[in-house]
Amino acid sequence: MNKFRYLLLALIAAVTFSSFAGSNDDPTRYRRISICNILVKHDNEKFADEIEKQFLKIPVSEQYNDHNLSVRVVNTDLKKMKDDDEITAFVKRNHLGSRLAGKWFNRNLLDGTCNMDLVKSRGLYDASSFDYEMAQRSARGKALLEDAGEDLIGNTYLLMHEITYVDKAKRSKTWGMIGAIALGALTAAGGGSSQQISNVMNSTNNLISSYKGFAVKVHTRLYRLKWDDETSNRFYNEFYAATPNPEIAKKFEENRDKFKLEYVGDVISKGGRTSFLGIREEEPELMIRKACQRALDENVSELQKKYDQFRIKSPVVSVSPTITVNIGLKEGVSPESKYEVLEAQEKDGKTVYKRIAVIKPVPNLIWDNRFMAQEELAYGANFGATTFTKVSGGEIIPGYLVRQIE
Amino acid sequence: MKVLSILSLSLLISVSAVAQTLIPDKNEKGKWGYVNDKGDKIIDYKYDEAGYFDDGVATVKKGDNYGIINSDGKEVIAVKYNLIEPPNKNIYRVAADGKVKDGVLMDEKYGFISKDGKILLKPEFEEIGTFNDNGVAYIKKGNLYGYINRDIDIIIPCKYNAVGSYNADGFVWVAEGAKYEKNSSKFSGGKLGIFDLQGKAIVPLKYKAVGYYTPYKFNPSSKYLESLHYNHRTILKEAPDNALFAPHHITQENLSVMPAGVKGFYGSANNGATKNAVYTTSGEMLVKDGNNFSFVFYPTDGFALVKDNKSKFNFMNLNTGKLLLKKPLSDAWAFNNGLAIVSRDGNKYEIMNTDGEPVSPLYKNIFPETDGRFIVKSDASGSELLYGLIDRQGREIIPANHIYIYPPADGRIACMTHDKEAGYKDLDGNWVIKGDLKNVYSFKGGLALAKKSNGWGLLDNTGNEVVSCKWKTCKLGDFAKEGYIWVSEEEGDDAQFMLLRISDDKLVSTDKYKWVRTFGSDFDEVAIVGSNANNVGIITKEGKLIVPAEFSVDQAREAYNFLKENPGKEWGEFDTYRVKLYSNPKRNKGKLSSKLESSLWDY
Repeated sequence: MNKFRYLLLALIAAVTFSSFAGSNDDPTRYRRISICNILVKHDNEKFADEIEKQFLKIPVSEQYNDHNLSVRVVNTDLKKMKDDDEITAFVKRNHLGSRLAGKWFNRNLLDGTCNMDLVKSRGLYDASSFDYEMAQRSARGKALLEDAGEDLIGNTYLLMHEITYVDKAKRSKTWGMIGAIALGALTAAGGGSSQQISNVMNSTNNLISSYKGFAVKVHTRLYRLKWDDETSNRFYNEFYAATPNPEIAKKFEENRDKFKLEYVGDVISKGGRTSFLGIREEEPELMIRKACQRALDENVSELQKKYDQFRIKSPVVSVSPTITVNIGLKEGVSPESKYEVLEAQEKDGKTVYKRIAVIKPVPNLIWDNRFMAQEELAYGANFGATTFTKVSGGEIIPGYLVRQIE
Repeated sequence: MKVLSILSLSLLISVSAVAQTLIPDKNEKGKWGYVNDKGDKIIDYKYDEAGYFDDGVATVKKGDNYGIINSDGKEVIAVKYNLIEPPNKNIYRVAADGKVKDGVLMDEKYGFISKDGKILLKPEFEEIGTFNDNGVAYIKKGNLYGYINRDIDIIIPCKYNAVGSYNADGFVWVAEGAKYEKNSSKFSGGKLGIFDLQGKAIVPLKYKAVGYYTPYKFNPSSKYLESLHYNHRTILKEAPDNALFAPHHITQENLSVMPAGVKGFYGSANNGATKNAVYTTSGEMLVKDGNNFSFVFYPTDGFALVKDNKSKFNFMNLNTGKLLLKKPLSDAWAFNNGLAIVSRDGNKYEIMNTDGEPVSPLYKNIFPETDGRFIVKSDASGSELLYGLIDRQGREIIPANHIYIYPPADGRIACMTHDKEAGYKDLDGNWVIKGDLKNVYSFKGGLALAKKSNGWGLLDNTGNEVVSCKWKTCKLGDFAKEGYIWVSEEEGDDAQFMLLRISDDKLVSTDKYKWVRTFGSDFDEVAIVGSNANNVGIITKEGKLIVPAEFSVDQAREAYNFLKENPGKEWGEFDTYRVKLYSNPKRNKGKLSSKLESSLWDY
């Protein structure tokens, strides 16, 4: 056991700190929260299709693991959600908990096979050591699974985003347009030969005037995958199949409701106007993406402030000459915020986080990493990281994790 | 007064360039001022926000307003602006006269102020665009648009209802006096013109229609080609650019940006662009508007091809303004190096010089020049159309009795005589490769597909077989670039292709596919193959099918991209399920109130 504990400690230490050996040399690799984003589309509202199109282009932030499912959009013609019932009912009715859990194990829908590849990869475990301990069914193996459960699978969230266009009537009045990408179609009459001219170009009808000042309101509801001992034990014992097994596959289908998503809470964005700065005239639809993405990012950072369990941990990138962390305005960093610096430690075979220090951002050195900040020539867009100063505590080394506390 | 850590201090020294380091500091009342590195107050605590000094100035805020102060605490830019954006080359974009409502700034107007406080552009513009690669940005005041440059000079004043976007060459169209129709989102009426980056009118603002000319690419539509005999199609496809400059409209339906590389502009007082003027890109008017022509093309060799209102053609001498021909033409191409292909009666074509005299005999058709040669089509044999090759003097290099002749390529002309003798001639019409050749295609990159008695293969430009001529069918491609060729032992609809490596003339594998795309069509290192266009997969140059032939072409491409992102992965049944699912739009059409079909989920 001591040997196993030592191995686990070494393993976790190796993957947590920046001085990685082997393939884990990247200090920005760390255990992330996994999220799944779904758009609740009011399909009879203005710009619903445009919003959907841009939403589907927004990637999961690099601060999180992409845990998206095949269904990215659900449609409603309800003018207003009655509380959160409709959305929670959808989540339950469609067994989203079981699907998010299934994705963790790369569960094959067709034959029920599972594997631990994603767990190993996202948990930064040494793959061969992990496989060995699993095969031995050792106590350490059990501890690794519990560790993966609590720190990884249990940190899986579903975000249901209800995005609606905010009609700024005044702004949409002004129609004057600035260049679209369209080119006029050739006129065959102008051709000098009996042979037809074939260079017909497509045209688009984007209304840039409507896109300027485009604003959306986003109501985001947060759910967390319940992965307690009961759930994980049941999964490993009853539904995990290393080789094709129709019976287990069928059993899983019949028991999808055993995997639950718990409602955590919600936030609503302010509906503020996003500047047209940085939008090229030939891509006016980027304005919609900018408005949506910024509002989504704002909501995510608000949710982090509101709900401790949803707060991300980001690694310290450097400490000399200054403390820098790759978070910025997108994650809600502000001059008033404070962050704790955590060291990942092993305790009874599991990962625990110990506070080492408290830091705060240097006000004028906050990275503006919001979508299109660079195109906007926003201040701080080219920083690459936010600079922090230490408020209290001990020595900080790269690879320690940082989490907001206020 | 707070004590700053050594770390912060050293950081600030590295950030600030001022002789005395000034650091923002907040007092007990929450107000900001500035202290030096000893902590002594230098600038009073009177601001609600205070930025760090950079190059001797700092942004401060009082209430809802921003300003800029210097290290003496003096306001260089008064604290009265809704917004002061970070400077770009010592110029600040500012906003004024706005109101903050529910946290949102509304009704603000934008302008520019220099670092020393000089107002470069008064904040009275509702919008100011981003400076593009040309260094210009649009400005908007009320409903009118203009443009400024990076020196904040107004190059186009704000008096136009609509403006286009400057193209890469620095031209933009503008409209004055146009009316906007909200329902259709179009504008109508008004005058159009084209401006350059200095705001000079290249095409004056007086036209109902403006457009541009680009060099004509001889690229007949696929629909047109389908109606032609195969050989004619291929010849047409291989024909080069021609000097006919086709007009393009900048329509009023979509505000547009011109492509780069336009040759000139036209302007017309008529919505249909008839009787148009012609301008060079420097604004010189070559042809006046209000002329008698339905359309005037961009001039070449001192002549403008013109079309009258009976759809007849002629050439106008730019110097004299006179028409070249007394009798107009039924069809014509613009002059190219002193020669033009024309038809006087609509039935036969000839080559004409700039004196209006025929240079060549009459032919059924004449194709654009390549390497000083014209392919001609003759009906001298009655109903059968035959091809020949003439030079710029109209002399027959290859008599017009060939079943086909391809444009010259790699110094070789693929052709077949009336007697079905196939081979390759040089530019003087002499045979350089002939013999047991039944059918030939043009050379490209030193290789040509050719058929001998025993079948198809590849020849080099001396006529040697690089790939043995023994195959019933081969797929056309850019062989020299790809290094591989698809060959078949069958013909016609029964043909199923195998992959052959050109370098050693050996089959990579004997697996056969009915539907194949060449390497390089989609990806350089793999090709898409299958039984038909809806059941394709991905094959490597080693002949291994790494994605099964179960997908559409787009899905196969996606599948391959997935494999590229997951090196070492072997394709499985579940991967097929997921690729098909991810390209199924139904998965995002489900209703919130329903239970979605299980086939829409990937887990």
